[in-house]
Amino acid sequence: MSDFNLPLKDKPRADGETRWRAIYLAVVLFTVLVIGALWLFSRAFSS
Amino acid sequence: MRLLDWAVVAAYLIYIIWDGVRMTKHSKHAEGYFLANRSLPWWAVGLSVMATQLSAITLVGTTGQAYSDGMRFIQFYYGLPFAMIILCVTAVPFFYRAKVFTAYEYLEKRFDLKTRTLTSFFFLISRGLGVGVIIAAPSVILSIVLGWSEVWTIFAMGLSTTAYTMVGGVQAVTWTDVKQVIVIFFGLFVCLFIIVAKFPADVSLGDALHLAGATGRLTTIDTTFDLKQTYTLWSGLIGGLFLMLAYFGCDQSQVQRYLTAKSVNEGRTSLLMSAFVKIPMQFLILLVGVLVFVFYQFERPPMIFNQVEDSRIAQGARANEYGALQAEYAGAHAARQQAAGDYVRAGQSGDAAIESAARQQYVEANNSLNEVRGRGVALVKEASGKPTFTDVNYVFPTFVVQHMPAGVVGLIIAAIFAAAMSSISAELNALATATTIDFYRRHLRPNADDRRSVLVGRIATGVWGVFACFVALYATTLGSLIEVVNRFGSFFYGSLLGVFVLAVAVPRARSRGAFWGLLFGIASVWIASRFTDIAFLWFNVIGCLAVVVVGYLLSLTDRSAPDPIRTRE
Repeated sequence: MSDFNLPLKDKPRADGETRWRAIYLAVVLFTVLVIGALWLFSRAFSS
Repeated sequence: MRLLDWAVVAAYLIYIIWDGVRMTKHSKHAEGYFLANRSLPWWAVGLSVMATQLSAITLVGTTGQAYSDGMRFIQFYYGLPFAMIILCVTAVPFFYRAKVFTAYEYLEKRFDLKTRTLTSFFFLISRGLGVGVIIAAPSVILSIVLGWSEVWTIFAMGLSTTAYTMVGGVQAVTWTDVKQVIVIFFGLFVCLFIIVAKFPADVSLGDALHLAGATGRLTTIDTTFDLKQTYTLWSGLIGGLFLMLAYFGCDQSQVQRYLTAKSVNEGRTSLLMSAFVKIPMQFLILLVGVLVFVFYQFERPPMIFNQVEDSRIAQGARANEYGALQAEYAGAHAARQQAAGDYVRAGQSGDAAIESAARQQYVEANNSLNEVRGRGVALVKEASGKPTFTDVNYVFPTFVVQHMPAGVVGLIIAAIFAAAMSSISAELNALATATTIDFYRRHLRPNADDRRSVLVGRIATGVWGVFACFVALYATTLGSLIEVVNRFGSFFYGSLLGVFVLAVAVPRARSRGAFWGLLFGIASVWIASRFTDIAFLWFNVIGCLAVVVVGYLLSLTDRSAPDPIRTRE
């Protein structure tokens, strides 16, 4: 039985999942930083 | 175009077609033709994901939109990185381990055949229409650059890409995408550099950005919560998130990209590449449009960028009225040019009071020019009998042809070709895959062998290519092309996403709920678009929620045993 059939909560924890969580967190932080930088850029030249 | 430009474009086309055709040897079996034998590295898949999404519309429509409306369009992409994370956790491992050819195959395993068939059918409609719009954009450019009719350019562009996709399959699509992304980025950077170099000697990049900022063209965040406004922070984060989840998670043209990866982790990494790169890349493209706007502070822009309509009205019954408006426009531009120069010098003087007064004058002069241009556009609408007329898509190509040096015009035309061909080829390949796997091999010939499946895939590619060309003929008469393609998508995407949410996250969901929920979702979006002023990005949210809620409630009425996929566990 392949685990794609299983509901998310029942999925086995795969090796390297901690590493993936860190990568996802990095994506979120990077995105927040980019949006923040764009906001600052907009304010700097629009006032 | 000069000889050097033709040489650059010809070299690009010859190389790409050769590169695609030589992949034929890897495409003799269905697994190779449709999924590249699941053998591709993450960076190639990642670049292909980006190339597929970055169409010529992105270059032409987005730069035009930045010229006329500024950078607010960037908010459309704020939900993308979050969508990528959700898909890395859900869709990528689900689809990859299911060993499916199409995303919709999974729905049969989870629900039933009719749900699979219906979702695949809606994908074929929305993408078939979408690829028509994607072909229309570069054809508009060619019609301006070469003076050809749009009809001929649409067929020349669409059919040549169709032919190359038919032969090479997904291997050709992916590996040509890699080269095409490089051409696009190179073209963009060269374009940006030359625009800045063309500013007057006393206008720095900082001055240029202040000029753009004063007119509101650098707005990257609009926190207004208004469902009728298309581009706000909330529509981007929420509506955009749903759209990106649907596009990258349920649209075969994207799912097929990461199904070709070597492993689940390589598929995930390929999606995260877009999560990191997409917003900065979109900023770069919008910046080009904004800087074109600044360039035209010091050079007189055409009042109407569509030269065909401009000539037609200038020689028609309302020529005198149009001529007077052109004279008024020239005066308004001269006043704005003066005001822009004054504002730049006031900024350099360091006196805040003088700068504030000069800025006010510049903003007023810009508004006056826009008002005259608005009347010009209205006159064209009346005279041509085209109430939806807009020249947004003509801004960037007109600028390139009139102001870029020899060789660079060819490079940018090649970049636009690259953007178009990378998207068209991926879409046609996905349409052919869904047609072959979800319809031919599922309904007509379940026992078709590999050779026959590849043959049908090639024929389907050709048929979809011709269909898309006819859609493109209609699409050129619509408004901003970037919005047109997203509107087409938003009509179906939310509902398709809703079905996959039911499948993956709602264990109680049954096939009855999924099927009727999907139809209800599409109907809800139609009602929202027909009877309300809600901006199209929110259609994705409406469609998804309608499917999930109605699908769940209907599933509660179904007392039958869990669907087949559950009984196999």
